Amino acid sequence: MALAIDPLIRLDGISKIFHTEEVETHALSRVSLDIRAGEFVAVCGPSGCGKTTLLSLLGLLDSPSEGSYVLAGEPVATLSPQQRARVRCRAIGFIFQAFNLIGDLDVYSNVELPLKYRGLAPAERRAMVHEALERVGLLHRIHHFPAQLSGGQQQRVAVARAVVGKPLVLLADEPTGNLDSSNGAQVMTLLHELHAGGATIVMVTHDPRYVGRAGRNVFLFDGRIVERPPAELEVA
Amino acid sequence: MMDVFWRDVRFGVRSLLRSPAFTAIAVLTLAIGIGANTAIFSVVYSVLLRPLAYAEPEQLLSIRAAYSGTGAQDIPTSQPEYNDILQGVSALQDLAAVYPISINLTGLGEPQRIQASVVSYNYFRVLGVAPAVGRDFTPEDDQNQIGYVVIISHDLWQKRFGGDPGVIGKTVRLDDDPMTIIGIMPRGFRHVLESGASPMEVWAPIALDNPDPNFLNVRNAQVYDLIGRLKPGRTIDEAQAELAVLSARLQEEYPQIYPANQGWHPVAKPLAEQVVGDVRPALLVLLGAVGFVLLIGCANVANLLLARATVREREIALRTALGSSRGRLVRQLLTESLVLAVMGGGLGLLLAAWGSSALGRLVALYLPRAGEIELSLPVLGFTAFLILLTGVVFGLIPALQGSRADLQGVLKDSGRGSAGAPRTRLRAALVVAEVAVALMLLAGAGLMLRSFQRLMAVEYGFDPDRLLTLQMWLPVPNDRSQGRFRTHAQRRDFYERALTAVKAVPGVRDAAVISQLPLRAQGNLQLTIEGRPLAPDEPPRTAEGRLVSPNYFKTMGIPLLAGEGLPALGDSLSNRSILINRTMAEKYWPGADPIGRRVRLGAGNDRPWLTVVGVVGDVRQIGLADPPKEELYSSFQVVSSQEMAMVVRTGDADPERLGAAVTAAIRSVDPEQPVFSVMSMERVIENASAERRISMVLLLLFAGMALLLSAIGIYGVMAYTTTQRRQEIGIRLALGAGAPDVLRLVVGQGMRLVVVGLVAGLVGAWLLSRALTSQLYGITAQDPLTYATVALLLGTVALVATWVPARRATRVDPMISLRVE
Repeated sequence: MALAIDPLIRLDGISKIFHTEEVETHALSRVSLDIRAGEFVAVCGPSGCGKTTLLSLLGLLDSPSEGSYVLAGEPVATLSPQQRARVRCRAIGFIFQAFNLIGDLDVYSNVELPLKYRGLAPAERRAMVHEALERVGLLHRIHHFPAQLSGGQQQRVAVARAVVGKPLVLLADEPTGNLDSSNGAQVMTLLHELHAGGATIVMVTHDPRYVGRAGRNVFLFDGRIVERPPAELEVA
Repeated sequence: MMDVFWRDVRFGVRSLLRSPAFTAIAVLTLAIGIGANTAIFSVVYSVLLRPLAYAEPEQLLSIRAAYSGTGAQDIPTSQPEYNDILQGVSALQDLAAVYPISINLTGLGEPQRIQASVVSYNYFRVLGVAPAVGRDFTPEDDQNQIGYVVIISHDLWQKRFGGDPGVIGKTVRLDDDPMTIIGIMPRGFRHVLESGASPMEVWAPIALDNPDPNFLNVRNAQVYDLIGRLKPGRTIDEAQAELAVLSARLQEEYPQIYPANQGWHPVAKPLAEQVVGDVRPALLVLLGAVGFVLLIGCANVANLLLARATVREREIALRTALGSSRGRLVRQLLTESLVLAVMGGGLGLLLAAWGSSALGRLVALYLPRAGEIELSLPVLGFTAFLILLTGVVFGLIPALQGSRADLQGVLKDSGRGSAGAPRTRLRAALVVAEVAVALMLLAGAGLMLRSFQRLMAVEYGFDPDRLLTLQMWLPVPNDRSQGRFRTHAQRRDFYERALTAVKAVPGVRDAAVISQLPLRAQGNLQLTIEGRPLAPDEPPRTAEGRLVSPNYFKTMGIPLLAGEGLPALGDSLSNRSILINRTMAEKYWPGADPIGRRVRLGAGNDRPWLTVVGVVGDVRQIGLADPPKEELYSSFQVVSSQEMAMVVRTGDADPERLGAAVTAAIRSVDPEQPVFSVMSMERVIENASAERRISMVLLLLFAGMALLLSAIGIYGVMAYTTTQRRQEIGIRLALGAGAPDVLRLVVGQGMRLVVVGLVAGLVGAWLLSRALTSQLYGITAQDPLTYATVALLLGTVALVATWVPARRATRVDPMISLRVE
């Protein structure tokens, strides 16, 4: 999964400003950040500090108001929505806090989805889906529907869906936020295994238990990267 | 109990007013459905269901003859047959004879052609109606020769006499005969078998007991419609059984008049059925069609309510949590549906009032009892029933679904609606049903449209462009020795002078006369062909016969195919030349030259031979849908008729603009001559196709409504579903889906339902198409091109209806996937 280009992600002076009626909200202010291939970065900070905004920019779900974003050597800050969709499809894997599996699709179809959007052939897709599900230990649940799985299993399916296309970077948004501690720990273990296998992971969390388990922590406060963690994220 | 009901109503009204867009769409949809149904039902009720406005109408029957040998039906009866039936059928309490005519009313200002009827003295008694002013006919009136006393309609009394009650005893001139008014019928009285276009205005007695030996006593002078009244307790079947015995006896007694191979037999049927004629299938098709529109409307509103139930899930769950029972919730939701239905029904009733009156005017020309069309009490009752029915139909399932809230799930969720699987399946099923029903309607309308196009494309056999037509009727007084037009020479002189006067009108290029215009059946003449006797089992040879001026064919643009035209005669009446049409030439002289052959009218030897001098092209003489029949043309200079039509070829694009000048030219020849039915030939053609045109227009209108409503329905469901799936679409976008992927997803989902609906609709349309068979011309009820076209049309509309919300779905912000509610 790791790529020779270094850094894999370079944010330089990224700002994101939201305009609602007459109010201007600076969600991110001149954020600069390099992430090397194979790194496991935890983005931490209190609610409203801009973690999710940063993740959405990293995942090309949104574009910055200013600044540059280079992903694997390619500038991507000013791409059109259609171009961003193409990059997302090939380079980025998402793990959401609420799992975000599609209820009408079974496990196989959920995991297959990014590959379909990439236009891969059915046989190739099948092999990749099986490999991803095997990796998260859920091959035996391949024809189950999300409602038939526990929360932890659902999140593992979501992890399989995120890694199935072998993206350049995995973006995880509070991946344990909706899980109990036992399931949360299992998912974290899975992420560490992926990281150990070479995956680049950027994880947003405000859970102090997991802040220290990433390779590097980035602390956000009021939309800016700060040197020291806010008091509530101090690891005991 | 009523308190609770009114509380629910008040709550329902408040709740609906809080969602004005939803309420407006639902009310409008229901108004269209209920309004259209009420309007059509007002026609169906007035024409088919409402009892005839006579005393004990169920006891009234009509008797006409049929010929099983030739298939001819609805043939009137003769005076001797009337006497035989009156005496031979004991189930009858009484029997009246009716002979509709039209007659010239003069001496009261502008001469006018009016509808009249000669009737047996007991006609009004059989119907159980008496004149409002004056007296009824008596047996003594029947002792006189035809005429002398008349009863007039309320309308004529008002129009021509200003409602003067002193009109009784006054004299009017009808076909130049002075006749004394003895009675005025009540307002609203309608003659039996009256057409909406020509209301009956005068009734005169027939001298049945003192018949004219030259006419009334002739057994095969079959001109009378018979109206009977059954004795109390006797049935129409009993009457029919006695008629069967009678017909067997008459066939034995008069084998010349009733040959066994023709199978003459009188048929009794309820008078109401005879009055309605053959319009029943067309009306029932329209009622079915408009019922389908209402079904689609109900499906739409049910879908809207399902969507609303989703939005209100939290409110309903809260009520349940507070102790409301499911039955109570269903009742409340149903009350809301009924409030909606009442609002839609109220607006629909306004639409129906307008539509019913418009329909009445539209169908007045061809529909029996069209004058009776109104929003009567039974029609209003039907509307009330529809309101109740639709309220329950579209409200019950959403109410049952809506009341089944997942209490815990809904209250725990922060209010984000989610359509459960059963509800989604139900909505999908409603869309499938809507599409299927819309397709059935479109297929019916498409078949009618294609059929009509075929009908309009038929070769008339003449050029209708810039052609004015009119009718003339020369009066026939009862005292034939006194008539101004009693001799052929007088009639011929009038027609020739009229033609000369009309040809002199500026703008007129040519003018000709004919005894009956095309597209109006003339009646068959029996023929004897020289040198070709009839085989024993061969049906009689017949042809339609028309009298024409020699230039008729040139004026009409009818080609002369062989031989020569009719000679323009001086005074020689010995020339018995005729022209025949191509169909007659091919039927009676197949492969041979008919020129010079001779035929004789009738089966006997007492008529002169007529020589075929030419063959002309076929003309649609009977109706647009009827193929040309055998026809022969004689010169009006040899034999003339009291009734003639004139055709006037003009240089003006709109021949009707010359109508007044042409009428004035004819009046200059005889100021007392009414000239009537002045209209272009194009209008004659239009009238000949009016029934089909109206059916087609109404079906197209209903199909259009169905198409619009189903498009709205599909759009509504897809828009709602797309809104419900915004999160899912956001996730798909985050996972790399592009706009085309989302478009494909949403459109594909919608079109899958549409395709299922189309297939179901095609099957349904195919099964129902038989109902249209009798109204189609030139295509079969299973015409594949029509089915394919309407399926493509509906599919395209549905595609647009799904594409709009799909396009909107592509603009979902993928950031939504990161939001956790």
